[in-house]
Amino acid sequence: MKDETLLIKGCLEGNAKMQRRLYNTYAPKMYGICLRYAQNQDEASDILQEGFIKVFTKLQDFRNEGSLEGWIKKIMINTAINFYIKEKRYLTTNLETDEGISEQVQISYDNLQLKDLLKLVQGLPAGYRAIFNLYEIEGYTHKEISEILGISINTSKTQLMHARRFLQKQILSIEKQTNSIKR
Amino acid sequence: MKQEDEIGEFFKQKFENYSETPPKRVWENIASRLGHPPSNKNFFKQPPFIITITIIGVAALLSVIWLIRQPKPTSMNQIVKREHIIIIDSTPQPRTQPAQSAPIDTLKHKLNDKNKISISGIEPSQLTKLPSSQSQDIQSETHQNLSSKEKTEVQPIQTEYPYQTEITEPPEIEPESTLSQQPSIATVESEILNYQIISVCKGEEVVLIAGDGQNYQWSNGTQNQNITFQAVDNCIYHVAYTNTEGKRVKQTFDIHLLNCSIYIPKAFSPNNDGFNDIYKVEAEGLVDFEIKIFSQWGELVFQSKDIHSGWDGRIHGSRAPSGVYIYQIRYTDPNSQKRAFFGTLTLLP
Repeated sequence: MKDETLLIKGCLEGNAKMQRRLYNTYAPKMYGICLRYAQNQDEASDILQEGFIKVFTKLQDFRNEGSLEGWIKKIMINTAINFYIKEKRYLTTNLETDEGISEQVQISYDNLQLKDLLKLVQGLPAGYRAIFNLYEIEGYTHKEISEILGISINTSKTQLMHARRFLQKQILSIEKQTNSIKR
Repeated sequence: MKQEDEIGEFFKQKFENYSETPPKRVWENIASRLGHPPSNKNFFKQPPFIITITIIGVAALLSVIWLIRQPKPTSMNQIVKREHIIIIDSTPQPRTQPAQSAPIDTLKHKLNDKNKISISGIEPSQLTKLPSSQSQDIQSETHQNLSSKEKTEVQPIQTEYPYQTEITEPPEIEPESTLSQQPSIATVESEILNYQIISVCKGEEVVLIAGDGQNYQWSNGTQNQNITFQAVDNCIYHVAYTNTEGKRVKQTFDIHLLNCSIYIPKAFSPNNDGFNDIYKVEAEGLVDFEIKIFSQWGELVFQSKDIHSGWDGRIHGSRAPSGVYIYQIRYTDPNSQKRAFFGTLTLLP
C-alpha cells in the first residue's frame, strides 16, 4: 500500500521510471480486459495505449477511495466503450442468433481454451460485446449499462440475451467440430 | 434460460483474472506521448545490424544459386515438371544450335505468372495426368537419346538432373534418332488442347497462351504465342501453330463472359421525392442472395432474400432515424464463388 502511494507520487512528479513501473504492474491485466472489449489485438493495443495516457494525465484525480487497480480498470473500460462509439466499428461476424437454441442441449465446456473464448467474444458485434462484458464479467446492472451506453434498459436486456445465444451457438458448433475430429 | 446464465458465469470465471502481455510498442508509444525519450535504442535500426543482415542475405542468395546450379537428386514432383520441359524441347529435329533455353524461360515464366488469369495450352496439371510409369519411360528414353554421346557418364535416372544437362550440354541429335513414344504424347496433348471453354468475370484481363511451337497465327492477327485482352464480350479465339513435332495444330478458346459486378449504394434518402427512396443492391445472376441491415446497436432493421426488394427506411412501419446503418450481404456470384460483404450505409434525412 505504501508502495502504491510512492508509485503514484512518483508518477505525478513525472518520474519516467515510476511511470514505467506502474505500467508494468497493471498493463497485463488491463490488456486482458481490452482484448475482451476489442475486435482484435491491434484494437486492444490502441485502447490500452489511450487508456494509460489517460491514467497518467488524470492521476491527480485519483482519490484513494477505491483501489488503484479498480480505478485504472474503470478508465480502460470507459476508453474501450468510447473507442468503438467514436471509431464506429460495428460488425465483425454474422448475427444468426434469431433462431435460438433448444434448451435441452447440454454444453460441456471442457474442450474450450481461453484463446477460443476470447475469439468468440471478439467475434460479437461491438454493441453486444460491450453489454456482455459489462454485465457478465464486470458485473454491472442493466440500469448502469443503459446509462453508460445511452440505451434503454430493455435494449440492454435483449442485447445481452442475443449475445448469450450467439455465444452458445458458437460453442456448440465448436463442440460439434471437435467431436467429429475425435471420431 | 438457465443455460444462458451458465454461459455468463462460465465466461466470468475464465476471464476474471485473465492477463496477457501487451505488445512492446504500446509502452514505447505511451512513453513518447508522455515526453520520454525511448529507453533503449532499437537494436534492429542500428547500422551494424543492417550490414550484418545484408551480408547474411547476400551469402544466402549466393548459396542458393550455387545449389541450383549443382546436379542433385530430385523428387518425383520435380521430375514430372522437368520431364514436361524435356518433351517439348527434345523434338526429333536436327539441332545444331546450342542451348535452347528460350522456350524453357518462357515456360517458367508462364508457370510463375499467377497474377493474371493465364490459360496455358499445356498445363502442368494435365501433364501429370499421364500414367506415371509411362512418363518415367519417356523420360529415361528421352534422356538416353539426348546424351547418347556420353553414355558412359549417364547416371541412374532418378538421381540425374535432366533440366541442367539440357541447358549446359546441348546434345546433338541425329535426324534419324527415333523417339517412338513421342507421337502418342503429342496426340494426347492436342486432344486436351483443342477446345477450351473459359469462364471469366466481365472486365477482367485474360491471357491466352497457346501450346509451344512456332508460326502462331491468332484469329485476331497476332503472331505471338500469347494474347492479352480485356474480357468485354463473349467471343471465340482460334490459334493455329506448328507444334514442336512439326505438326500444324489448331486450338480454340471459347470465352464465356459472366457479369460478376454488384452495386451496393452508400446512402439513400427515403423522403418520397422519387430519388433514392429505397435502399437496394443491384446485380445479376446471383444465387442464394441475402441482405441484412442493422442499426448501430446491432438491431436487425431489414432482411431480405430477394435482390429486387429493398429497404424503405422504415422500422416496424415508422421512419428510422437518419444516420449510419450496417449492411451484411451474402451471395454466390455467377462464377460460383461465395461472397460476403459488410459495410455501412447512411440514411439521409
